[in-house]
Parts: sequence; C-alpha cells; structure tokens
Amino acid sequence: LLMALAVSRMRAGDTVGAVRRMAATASLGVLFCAIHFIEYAHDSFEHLLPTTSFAAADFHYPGARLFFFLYFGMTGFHVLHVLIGVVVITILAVIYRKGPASRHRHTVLEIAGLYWHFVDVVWVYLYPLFYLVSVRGHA
Amino acid sequence: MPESLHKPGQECRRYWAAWTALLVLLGATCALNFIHLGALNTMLSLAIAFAKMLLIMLIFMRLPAEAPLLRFVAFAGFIWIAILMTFTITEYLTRT
Repeated sequence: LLMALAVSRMRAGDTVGAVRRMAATASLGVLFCAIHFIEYAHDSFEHLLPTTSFAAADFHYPGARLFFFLYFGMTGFHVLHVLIGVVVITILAVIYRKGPASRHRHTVLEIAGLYWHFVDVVWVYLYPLFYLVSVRGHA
Repeated sequence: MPESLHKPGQECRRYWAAWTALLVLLGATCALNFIHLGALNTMLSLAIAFAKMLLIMLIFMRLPAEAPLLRFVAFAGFIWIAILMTFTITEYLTRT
C-alpha cells in the first residue's frame, strides 16, 4: 500500500510525500526481516534447521525434514529479495530527498514499485503454504 | 492511460480499498484454516491467494494502465513463478 501511495505521490509531483511513504515502506520491510530473523533464531534453538542436528524424532510424519528445507529455502530467498527491495527503496529515497519530481524519477520509482509488489505476491502464496498448514495440524 | 488513473484522490481511495480487501481475504484465509475441510483447505487457500494476487496486480501494480509490453513481461513473470511453485509443491506432496 505505502509503495503504491509513494508512486502515486511522485506521479502527482509531490516528492516530499513520495519520500515519506518510501521511508515508511523501507521501515516496514526492515521490521518484516527482523521478525523473520527472530523466527529463524527460535527455529534454530528448537533444532528445526534441516541439518545434522534436525530434531526428526519430534515429528511423526514423513517429509518433515523436506518441509523445513523448503520453508527455510523459500522464505530465506523471499527475505533476501525483501532486503534488496529495502536497499533499493532507501537509496532512491535518499537520492529523491532533494530536487523536483520528474518523469525519469517517476519511471524509476514505478519500476522499483513493480519489483516490491512482485515480492509481495510471492509472500501471498508462501504464507498459506508454510504457516497455515501448522494451524490446520493443531486445530 | 485512462483519465481516472490520473486523479490522485481517486487513486488513493482505490489503493486503500484494495488494501482493506487484502486484509479481509487474509482474515478469511486464517479463519478457513481453523476448519477441517481436508484437501479443500489448501485449494481454497490458494484460490484466496490467487484473488489477492489479482488485486495486487490490477490495483497496486496498475498493470491495466501499463504498456502492452510491460503487461506481457509481468504476465510471463507470474506464469514462471507459478510453474516453479507447482513443481516444488508437486515434489513435496508426492514424497512418501
């Protein structure tokens, strides 16, 4: 939402408004990554990393190790892409802090927005596939 | 580009409406997964995810207002990610 609003503000010629929304977007991106890293640390304590210390005995169904391999692989790559997005948005926000809105700036920000929303779409699929299966398991 | 997409106020309201719809769909996905429907759970969750993806593509990414080449590239990208995810899920679901 905030990234779409930032692109919208830039299109309307409001650079200050766009930069504020970009900063908010980047901040929420950092918060998302921080929550993920806390989650990974917690998983590591519980021996859920699919390495030699994997707590296979705690699971009574086949494919548990594969699930955690996919979970860490796919969410890990997603977090990496979020971090790339945060860096790109932060750099653009710093550059666009000064100077007027222009067609070139709008185009660059629009492309950054497309990337950000694409990463968002990936999360839309990852969330039910990895997080809600456990809810079903315990409900 | 349609004239309506140039009006910032109208555009802003559309973004907020899409965001609210995304939150409602997120709530629906979470609520759905507390009900045991067997394999239907995953199918419905993916159907809701598809609806959320359409909202993001049509409203936030403004793909209907973009040039045909960009729409084609975006469409190809989403098809590609769908193929990769399908392969991954197929591998996982058929593992014994």
